[in-house]
Amino acid sequence: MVDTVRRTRHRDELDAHADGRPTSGRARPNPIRLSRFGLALLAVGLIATAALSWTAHTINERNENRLLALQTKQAATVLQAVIPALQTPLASAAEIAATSDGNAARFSSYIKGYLAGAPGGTGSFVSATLWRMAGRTPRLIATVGAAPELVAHTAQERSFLRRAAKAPAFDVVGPVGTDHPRLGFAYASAGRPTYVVYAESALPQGRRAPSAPDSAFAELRFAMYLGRSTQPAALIEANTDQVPIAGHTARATVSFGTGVVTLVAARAGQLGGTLAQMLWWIVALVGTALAITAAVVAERLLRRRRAAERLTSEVRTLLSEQRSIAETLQHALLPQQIPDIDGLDIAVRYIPGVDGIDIGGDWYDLIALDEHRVFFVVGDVSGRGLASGSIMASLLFAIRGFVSEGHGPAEVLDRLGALLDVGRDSHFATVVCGIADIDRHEITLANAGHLPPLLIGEQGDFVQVPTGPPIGVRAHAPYTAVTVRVPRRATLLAYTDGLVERRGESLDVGLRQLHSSALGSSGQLEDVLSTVVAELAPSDSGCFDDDTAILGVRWQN
Amino acid sequence: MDEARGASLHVAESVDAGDVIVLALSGELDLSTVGPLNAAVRDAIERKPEALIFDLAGLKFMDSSGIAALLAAVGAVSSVQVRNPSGIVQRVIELSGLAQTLGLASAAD
Repeated sequence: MVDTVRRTRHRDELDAHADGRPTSGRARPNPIRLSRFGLALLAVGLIATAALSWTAHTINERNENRLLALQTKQAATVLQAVIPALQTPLASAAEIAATSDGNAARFSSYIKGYLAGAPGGTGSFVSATLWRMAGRTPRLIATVGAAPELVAHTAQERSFLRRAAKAPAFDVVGPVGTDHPRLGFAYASAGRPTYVVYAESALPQGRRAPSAPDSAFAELRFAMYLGRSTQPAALIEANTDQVPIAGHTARATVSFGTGVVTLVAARAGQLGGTLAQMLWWIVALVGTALAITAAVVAERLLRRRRAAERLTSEVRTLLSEQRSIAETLQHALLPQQIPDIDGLDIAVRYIPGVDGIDIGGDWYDLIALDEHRVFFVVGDVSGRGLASGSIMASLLFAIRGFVSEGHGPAEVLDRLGALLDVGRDSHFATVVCGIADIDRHEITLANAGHLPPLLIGEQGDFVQVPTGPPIGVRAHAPYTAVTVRVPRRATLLAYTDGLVERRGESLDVGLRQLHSSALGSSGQLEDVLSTVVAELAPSDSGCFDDDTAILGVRWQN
Repeated sequence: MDEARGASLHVAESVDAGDVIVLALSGELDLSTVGPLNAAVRDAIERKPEALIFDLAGLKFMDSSGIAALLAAVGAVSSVQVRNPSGIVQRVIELSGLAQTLGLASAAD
């Protein structure tokens, strides 16, 4: 009557996993190789990432091109704003020439303020000349600054000046000259005779002029051409060595006097900012990382679940093995051979309870004292598991020792008290022990908290023995032995509480059942034990809830 | 199974004058209901009372699980007593040889 732990009933679960028994030599799964599910997840993630990244890239490209077109237009506007700065001095000089009737000195004093490098000058011209058109032939009146490059090319000079003279309007020619190319500007006066002011401004060295960082052209690679053609000869200026401009370009045309200037531009950097440019990369990298992470995490979860399932199955197998090992050990501790004593039948049973993890602490023992007497023990350590099992072993061997020293049942129990302390060990034990004397037909019994043995003769009754406290409850509990007269051919049954105790039933019900079952059975002692076990086992499961030990002793006479 | 049977145990704790803890049990005490009692006993032991008294007046049924729960207290508290057991409960205590240990006058002794 000393079991404190409910035995878990999971025989069904154990059986269900019996065929799923794992092998210990299983190879570890490859840490990189993904399962089909992981691969699918990765593929979906990567495809989504690629689509998003492509979208980001396309949007950025479109945006960039739109910005390029806008900036090119802006640059063209800026270019157009330059015209008055070039046109106004020439127009004024032409007007001065016309009103002063071609006075070279007045022309020179006015125009030199617009020459590059002139004291107080702000202009960009390197050369300025005044011409009077006599019919179709231009005649040079005055030269300020360097000699005009155009003069070196007489035919070109004449045709341009004639063209310019046709209308009082700003005209542009160029580039002229080869070593130091220049751009030529002309303005003709109204009326007769016609005066033409012709000025040249130097083009930058190699027609390359890097843009100032804050200019409208800073973020563009651009080339300016005079006229609509983008032939190299028509190039006025570019801010890059890569001419013609490669890549996606935008084009704008600006009216420049009577002609046009064509602006071709491409992006020098990222117009919409670095983030916009990097976005598709960021999307691609983050997306790929996420896809891989998701796949790996999913894979790990999947594996963990499988591992958990495998572990559960392994644990079940191990528990079942542990139980079986524990049972084997326990059985090994119990006497393997029943002493053969003349005149006495002896039978024993050890029945494990409903399959559980832990073993119980039930035991029986038989020690032949001499040819006529046998010392018997039935005991039960509280609780379950290895601790109960080892306490059981120590009590069993201690009793054998005390018996071999010649102690009787009560003295044996007295001495056991020193071995166990419920406060220290958290376990206690109930023990009934006694000496069966064949010749004298007597039993001497002592009881430490154990259920009373049943003595069956003509009638049958539980042996009334003063019951002391269980072993481990009090260190110095005095136990009393009682000697009982045994009828001829009588049988003594000692047992542990598993046989008679059932959940929800009073102990007396179980004891009465044992009494009637034992009294009603006949035949060999072995048969009596079998009958009792069969009749007392709970009908619903066919198994005792708790481990059960039974010892039977029968006088042959 | 146990729940279907409806076995239940109620543990009420009170503290008498001084350091005496009284655990009043009512209902049925077996393997399926012993949990709360074990917890209450552990809790009482931790407070190191002078004495621990189990009042079993309301206890209709007890098996060896209950004996084990009571004995857990015996190992840890210097004075453990049982009061007012019903006939069935008294019988279980006597069969366990604990009547004297638990402060009950035993008919069998």
